[in-house]
Amino acid sequence: MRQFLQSAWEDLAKSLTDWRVWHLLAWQEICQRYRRSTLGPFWLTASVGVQLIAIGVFGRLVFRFDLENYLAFLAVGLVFWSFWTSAITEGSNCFINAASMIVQIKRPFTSYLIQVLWKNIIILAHTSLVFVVVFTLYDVAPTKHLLWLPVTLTLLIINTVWPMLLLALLSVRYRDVPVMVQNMTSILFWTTPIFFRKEQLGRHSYLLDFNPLTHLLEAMRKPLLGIPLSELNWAVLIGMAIIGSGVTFLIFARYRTRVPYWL
Amino acid sequence: MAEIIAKNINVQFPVFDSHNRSLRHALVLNRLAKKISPDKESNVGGSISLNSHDQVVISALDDLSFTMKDGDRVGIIGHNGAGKTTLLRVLCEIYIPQSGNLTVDGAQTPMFALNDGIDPEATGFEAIRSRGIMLGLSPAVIKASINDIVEFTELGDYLDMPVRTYSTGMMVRLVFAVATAIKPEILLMDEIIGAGDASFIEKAEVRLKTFVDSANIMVVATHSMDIVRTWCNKAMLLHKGKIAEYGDVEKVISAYHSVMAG
Repeated sequence: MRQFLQSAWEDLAKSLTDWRVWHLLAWQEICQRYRRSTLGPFWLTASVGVQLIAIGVFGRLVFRFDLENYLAFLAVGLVFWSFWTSAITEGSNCFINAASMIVQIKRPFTSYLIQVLWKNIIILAHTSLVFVVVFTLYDVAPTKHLLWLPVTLTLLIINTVWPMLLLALLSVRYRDVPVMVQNMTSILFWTTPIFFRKEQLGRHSYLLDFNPLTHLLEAMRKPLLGIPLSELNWAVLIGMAIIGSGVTFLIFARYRTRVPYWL
Repeated sequence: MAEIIAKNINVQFPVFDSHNRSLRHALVLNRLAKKISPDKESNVGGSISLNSHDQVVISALDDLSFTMKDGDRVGIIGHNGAGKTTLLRVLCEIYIPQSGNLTVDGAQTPMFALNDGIDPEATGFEAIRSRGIMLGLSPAVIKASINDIVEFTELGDYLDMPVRTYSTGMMVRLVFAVATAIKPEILLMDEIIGAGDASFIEKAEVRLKTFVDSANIMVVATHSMDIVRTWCNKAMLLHKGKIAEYGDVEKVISAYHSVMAG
């Protein structure tokens, strides 16, 4: 097992030193998808913007939300959601989609994972423009809690990466998993406080705390809207990061070399 | 200084059908595999059998032991499915053998497929750059050797065109030029090399001579005995995943012909 752990560690170290490879391929993928389009990756920004307006108007008419605070709240929810779902669904397919390259070129396995993550972070940077627009329009001023954002985003990313890797390993061996992931994510949209507020569930609102995604979302939303993270938030985020990454790393170390055989 | 030592390496591929690839099946039953009869012999491919988990496996490489040293230029020949490509991928440490020991001393430069990591819309120059990065070259090194690469490819103005307009042979030139831009320690090539025309093969031979003579290892899998005769000083005949003959080029080629004749 020690041998396994060491090679897995070297795999990770090598993909970090060879950052040019995943940066190049992530960038190439974005350029390929939006080649010849005028807006390019800003199409995603626009799409989040349109969703925001649609759900915003709907929320105001049906739930009588007060639009001023609601739009900023919703904007963070939607940007988070578009990042998280595509990171997870693409992440769980990262070995399957790279099948031809995996058997042709010697490249660390984690490099394929980081490539997907990096691509989605670049896209997140584009969709984040929605914040700038909404926050300016509605005068949401940054508070001192915004300083926590780098820390909470790091926790958010760690807690996105290990499920990606775990699902990628499972998916390559059991081909039902990617389909399952797709179904799961669409359920999560309705069970995570993305477009509704926790408080609207009244005395049942504690149920949302059992959904890990709630805490990931709040890691992004709270600092942006100037609310401190709760103790429960911190405990869940840090606990999941440590336990999740640890367990996933062990599984990765054990089954890493089997990936090409399972393709 | 490069060296490859293989001791009793085995590579087996599990064959998943849609049933045992699914989670449901792995959790419930796994009996389909038993239907395979062990005595139907075929003349191509590795042997098909069941492993201890009742899984259908193809034995692609069966108990291989060999050594490759500095200056070795090895041509791997054999029928379709003999294990040539698998062996190259093992040497590249893409497939880690299930059992046996493989020590590879030296960095591998693979040249197996042509289009991996290259955006078809990218120009020749961009493709040179991305291919270089994929092989672990830094942009500075790529920049320094760009003239040499351009000159070798003889692609001229085509280097400003998107690579989707290239023929396979043109792509071989480009990929080969990048792979050999920096003296590779262990150069591994699959049959694609055969897509190059006669003038390319000649040029490539000269280029290979400049660095493979003294040190380093080159391994090429091919069906062309001409390439084996001109490029290699050793040959290996694979038959159904086993080494049938390894060593002197002419001896191995004649063994190849007798295997092919049946």
